[in-house]
Amino acid sequence: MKLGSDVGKCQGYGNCVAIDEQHFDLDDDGMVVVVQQEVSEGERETTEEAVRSCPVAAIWIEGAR
Amino acid sequence: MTVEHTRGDPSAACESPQPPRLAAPAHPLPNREVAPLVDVANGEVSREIFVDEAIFRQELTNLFPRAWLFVGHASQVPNPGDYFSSWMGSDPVLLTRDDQGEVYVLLNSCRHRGMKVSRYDEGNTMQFTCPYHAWSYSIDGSLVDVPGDLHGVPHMKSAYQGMLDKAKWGLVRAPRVHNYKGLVFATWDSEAPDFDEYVGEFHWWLDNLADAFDGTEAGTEVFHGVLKWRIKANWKFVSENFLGDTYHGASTHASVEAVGIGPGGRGKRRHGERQNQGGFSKGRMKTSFRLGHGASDNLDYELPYPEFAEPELTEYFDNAWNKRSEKLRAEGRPLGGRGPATMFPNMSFAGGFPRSILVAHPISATETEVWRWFLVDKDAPDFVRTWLREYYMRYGGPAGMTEQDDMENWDYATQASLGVVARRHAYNYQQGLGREQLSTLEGAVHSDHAIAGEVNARAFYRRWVEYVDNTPQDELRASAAVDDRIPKIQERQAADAAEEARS
Repeated sequence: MKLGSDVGKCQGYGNCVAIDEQHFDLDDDGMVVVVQQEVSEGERETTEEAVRSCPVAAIWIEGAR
Repeated sequence: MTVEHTRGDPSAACESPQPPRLAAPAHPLPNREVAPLVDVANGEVSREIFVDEAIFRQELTNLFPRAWLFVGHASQVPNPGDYFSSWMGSDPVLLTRDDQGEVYVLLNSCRHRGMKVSRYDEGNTMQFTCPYHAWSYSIDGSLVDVPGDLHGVPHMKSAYQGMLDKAKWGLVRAPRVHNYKGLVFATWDSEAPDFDEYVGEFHWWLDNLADAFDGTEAGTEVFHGVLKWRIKANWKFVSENFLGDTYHGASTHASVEAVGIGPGGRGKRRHGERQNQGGFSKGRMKTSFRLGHGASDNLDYELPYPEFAEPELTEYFDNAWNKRSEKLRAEGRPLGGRGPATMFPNMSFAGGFPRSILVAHPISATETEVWRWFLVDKDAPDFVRTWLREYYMRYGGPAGMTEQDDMENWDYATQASLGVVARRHAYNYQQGLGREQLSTLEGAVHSDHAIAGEVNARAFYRRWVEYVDNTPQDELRASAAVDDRIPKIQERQAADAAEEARS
């Protein structure tokens, strides 16, 4: 599984980072950066929650949209 | 009777996220005592309470936030994420359903700068993101502690250094929500009595509204869409009209009767009363509750479903009536109690023909926004739905013939009561004064006449005074716990009996 993101949608809520800092971080402008694209089966549940927590749907798991 | 409960401990789960620390003063304007304006003993009510803006502000402050109000029907939010925009007194609210199927009532105003977080009449979303600065509130209970909590703010980290306490800045929640067979009520007041205590035995009328025509418990839903319109009249005209004013029917609705808009068509009555029951109103009395609620009828007044112009409809409703009769008789329940009725303060309804809910939203002393919901059995076949929908439209709502008659009265009555001279002269509420009758229902009495009788209105305004003069909740409960009208009736009856024995 791979992560996708659209920094144009990001508003810097930072919810994703609070839930899953292994895959997400914020850049100097406070916008989302995917720091690890691959999601293992063991990580899936946490990453899915992080994706669901984004108020503007700026991040997603490829093929799961 | 409750179909759904708030998840977990309702009082704990539904506490507002933060008690207001910088709350507005309880009385933003000098309060005017309203008790002297309502003379229940002599049946007089000052026009001031229908036109005065200061009194209107007191109603908004002291009455609406402390009463149980009808918010919407659970069938309007059947799925997780469904929401319906409504009003509670002066405040816009959202009726929502979370991922666990529970219903919530949230103040539709962002905690940051107050923007309406939803500007739609209804929809589906698991979050409300404010259009102004994008504060985002979730109703997904798996993401937040309680649906409505603040879920995220843009630049949380840099703007607030991560110090914003999201748990304290969720949408304001109505602390008490009650789903009664699909009818969703809420109150802003944590100190208000439980819903069951607030309605008392008036619940039988709510049952007949919420249960299906064949008696199936909670077997109704609302037709999609709520009719909404504004009238230049005080909201209490509306509540009072459905509370037990059957006196206006013959004069106000004469032309509607002449047209024949009812189930039987031309020459038959608009509510579908049958011709063969020994008089339209035999055995009928109004029912007045000390709690302020009132109904135009009583539980023992049985009114079978109509005879329709279309035989298949007669057959459908005959079957429903027979099934309901059997069910209720087995439970030892009387078959009457369809209204029209008003649940204090501003929810009116009828459980027969038509079957409809009305809320009179207060806009100003002389303006009201009226909302109408129309009910239908969940399992009603299409031909029944179609007939009811057409009947409802020609009967009620802004284009409905009967509603137009009523609106005309309320508008002109309000306008003609605004004058300096007019305001000096009270309205008359003396019908049936001192002629009230005992009831087997707790905290209730009846009128002694089917059509005339203003006992319901007198009790309504008495309760209105208690709320608007800001009587504390414990005193409100105490004053309604004992119906002091009952011993007076007993004394009068004893005196009458003694008089009769002498003569």
